[in-house]
Amino acid sequence: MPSRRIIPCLDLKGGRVVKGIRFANLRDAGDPVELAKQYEAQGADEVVFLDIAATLEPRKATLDAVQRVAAELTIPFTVGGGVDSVEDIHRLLHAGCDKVSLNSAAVRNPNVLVDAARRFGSQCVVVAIDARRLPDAHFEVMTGGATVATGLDAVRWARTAVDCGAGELLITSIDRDGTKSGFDLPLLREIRDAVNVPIIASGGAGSAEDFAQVFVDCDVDAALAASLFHYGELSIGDLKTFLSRRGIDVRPLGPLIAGRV
Amino acid sequence: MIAVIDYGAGNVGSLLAALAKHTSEVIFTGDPHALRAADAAILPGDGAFGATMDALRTRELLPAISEIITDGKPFLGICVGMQILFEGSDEFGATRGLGIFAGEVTRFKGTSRVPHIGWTKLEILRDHGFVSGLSASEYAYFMHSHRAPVVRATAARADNEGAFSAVVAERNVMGTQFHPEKSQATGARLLANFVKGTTHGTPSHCSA
Repeated sequence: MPSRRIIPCLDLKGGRVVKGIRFANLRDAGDPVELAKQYEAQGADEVVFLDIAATLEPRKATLDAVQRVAAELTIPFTVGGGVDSVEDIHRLLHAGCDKVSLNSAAVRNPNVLVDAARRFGSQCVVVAIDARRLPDAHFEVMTGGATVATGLDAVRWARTAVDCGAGELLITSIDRDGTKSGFDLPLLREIRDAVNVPIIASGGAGSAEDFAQVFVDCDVDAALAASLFHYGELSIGDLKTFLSRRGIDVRPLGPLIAGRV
Repeated sequence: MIAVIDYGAGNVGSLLAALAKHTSEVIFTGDPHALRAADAAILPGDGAFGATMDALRTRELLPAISEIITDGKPFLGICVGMQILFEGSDEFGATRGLGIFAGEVTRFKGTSRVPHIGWTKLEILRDHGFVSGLSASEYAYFMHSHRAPVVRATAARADNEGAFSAVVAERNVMGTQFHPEKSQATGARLLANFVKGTTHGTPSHCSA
């Protein structure tokens, strides 16, 4: 079994990281390479970049950023946001990212997943699902940056996405996103029970305890957060030490990370 | 000179950047003549087993690869580049490999989560220059749905509800299921060892 992964998420716009990141020693708080390297040094297991400029195809600036990050980073990274077609996926993978995440486009046309999995392999095809809780305790898929209600049941969609070729799911709770009140455990538990691919939990992380809980209660493979890490409220190193003491298998820090070679 | 084999696989920018930290003697080539002239070769992996074999065959690279291996020059296969060193694979129907190592590559079965994605611990099984300096607590980043069996040449195994070959190393032939360029210090150590073996003779202090 792989160790449980901790993943910081960076928002990209025009090839630059947006939403202020408050690390003390940054030369350029908008440089994706410098920020990804910082997280790598802290012990991040991979990095997710989300292109928040809604476009129909990855912009040249994004591809340039991906290329620069790929030449410097020695851990894997995923790129998502506005990915619409197999050609988009090809361009991003060719620029050097390890996985590509699809959201709205996969809902519109699940065949993109079939084609992508056949051409590039499921292991690099991530489907991001933004879900909100309905009054009847079901979860509904939202697309378009959580602005469009689809009427799709999130658990059924998760199953369909995997059947079509998704090799990993990035599940974001819209209700919990930004609240720092903990991950949406019922949502993640239901999807965990429905599929057998790795799951990345997202939305609601507010403390180290929240991470421990989502790993233990929902058996997810990875947990993602943004502002919690960006604003220095919790360092990835401290989080991993905490999880390790709780008996959760995380990739160790220390001499492994130090420049040994 | 180390030849990184160009057969139209995906991005090799990260690999070339990682190698550049250890040597400037690297060419990226799909020319069989240039490949034969090199002192060592790396076959980067990306995509399916059958498609990889087809691409190598179409580009007439298979004879040059066999020659490098039989000439005793250091050879490193990465990901599916390691898998094709085995006899065959069940990915998208049965496909034959190079058969340097015994055994078939098969899809993860049973209760294991597929694809196998993430940092999994390596268990070093044999002594070889390629894995020298690795500690008892090394992790590598895997992303794959098919696995090569543990064989005599397996230098490190990993476990995903069953053991598989994570690193192979026998005489001059080496391979990693994971991408060393994406496995931080552990991967950098392996690449450094490989480069060292190309300049100081084959890293071949094997023990069976």
